[in-house]
Amino acid sequence: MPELPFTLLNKGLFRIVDAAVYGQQDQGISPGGAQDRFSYESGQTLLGHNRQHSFCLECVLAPRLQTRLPLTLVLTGAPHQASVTTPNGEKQTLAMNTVSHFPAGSVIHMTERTKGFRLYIHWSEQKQPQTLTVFDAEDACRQWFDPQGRIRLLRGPEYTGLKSPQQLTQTYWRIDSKSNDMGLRLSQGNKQLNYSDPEMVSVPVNDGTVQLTPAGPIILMRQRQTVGGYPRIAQVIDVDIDRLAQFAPEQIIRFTWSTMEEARALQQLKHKTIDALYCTSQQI
Amino acid sequence: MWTQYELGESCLVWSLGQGLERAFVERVLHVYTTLKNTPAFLDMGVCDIVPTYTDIALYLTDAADTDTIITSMNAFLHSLPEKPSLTAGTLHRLNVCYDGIDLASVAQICGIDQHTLIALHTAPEYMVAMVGFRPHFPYLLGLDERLSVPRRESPRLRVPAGAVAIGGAQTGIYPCESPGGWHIIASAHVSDLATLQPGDRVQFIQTEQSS
Repeated sequence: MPELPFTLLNKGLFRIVDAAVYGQQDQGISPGGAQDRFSYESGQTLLGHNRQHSFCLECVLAPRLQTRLPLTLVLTGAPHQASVTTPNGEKQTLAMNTVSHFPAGSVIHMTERTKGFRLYIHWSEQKQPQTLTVFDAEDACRQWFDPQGRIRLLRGPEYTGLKSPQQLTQTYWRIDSKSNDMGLRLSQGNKQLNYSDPEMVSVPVNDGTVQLTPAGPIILMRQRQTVGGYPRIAQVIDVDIDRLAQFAPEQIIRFTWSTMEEARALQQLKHKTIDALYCTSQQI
Repeated sequence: MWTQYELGESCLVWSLGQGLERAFVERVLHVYTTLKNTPAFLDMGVCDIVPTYTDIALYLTDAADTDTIITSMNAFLHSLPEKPSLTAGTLHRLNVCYDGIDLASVAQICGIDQHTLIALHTAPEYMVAMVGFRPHFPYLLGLDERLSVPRRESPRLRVPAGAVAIGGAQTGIYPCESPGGWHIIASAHVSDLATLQPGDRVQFIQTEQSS
């Protein structure tokens, strides 16, 4: 873990995250990385890091920070009201998805988030040549998010074992408070999804795999296990895994079915947006 | 024969069989070791190859050419002989102390004494069928049928790191403290687990000292 270039004036609740690391899943080590990859990648790209990503803070409860060095900062993810007080007492607003530079000793305050769940604080010790690159992340995400806010699913390998598959998409699901970075546990009150034959050996899983456990469905997130022995009834499409990372426990979600074709096209849109953002950040 | 399916946009899986059978495991491990040692295959955009008892998963990079990978993999599977010869993996001799909290109860369920249990558990050369669900957790194949006991009805909230345990027809070693439903019969050194690869072989050597 890196030494942070901040003093924590208030600890908040955060994790230091990096890009996902592949190549070790056969050792039982999942790729991990930031839960909301788009927010992570767009922040890193705004800082001018192209595929050479570095650490950032993934905050569920934003800390109060004081910079120990002159730093370039970017906030992405869940929108927060943020401001910075520089050592000479000057107070500035710190807008989301905006590149700004601050001297050492600046204090960053964040009030409660206005929506979403995870805030990403990115930094660089390199001073950007200009202070402003604004990126409208919400507008960008509108290209690939479902307009009705639903999470889109593909059928999982064990989908056919579901006794009433329509129950998945016809009713709302609550994200249980016992959810964590490994997985989101879903519940529907006392109602259960019934499955014909749950006996199986451990098989591969992926980010976004929906497993049906005896306690209900669980959506595997970035810090998931690498194999699992529960029926994989569905698979969340890539762009919507990022969206799920912005749901807080106790929130309600709804599913709808998608197709592999649609999923791939939306994923492409997301990648193109990051590529275009990199080009923009280099032109300034 | 095999079936092929996807787990989202970034993961292709081939299923080579159903159920826990040594023949499927050996086939999967043969495919796994061959692919791992074929740079041209990895260069097509495969960033992870994960073997399990029956299925083998290929995780793809954003730049991967999915159609070419599917075609190449299918051609490779077609070319496999009925019983591919699996190159013997590295043999790891692990020192374990049979001091597990469930040793007596497992012996009782199996209807044997503890000495026999230990003799039966140390006799085979196990195969690392896969490593997962947690980092470095080896699923070992080759447990003597007489030691097969159903998982505990209620899983323990805390199984210590290094616990050697039996769950059904499988035996494994917990690399870190975690919840678990297997029966704990012994303890091993966690540091011995980091180098275990799918396809490797494991033999347990009984020691008196607890790790």
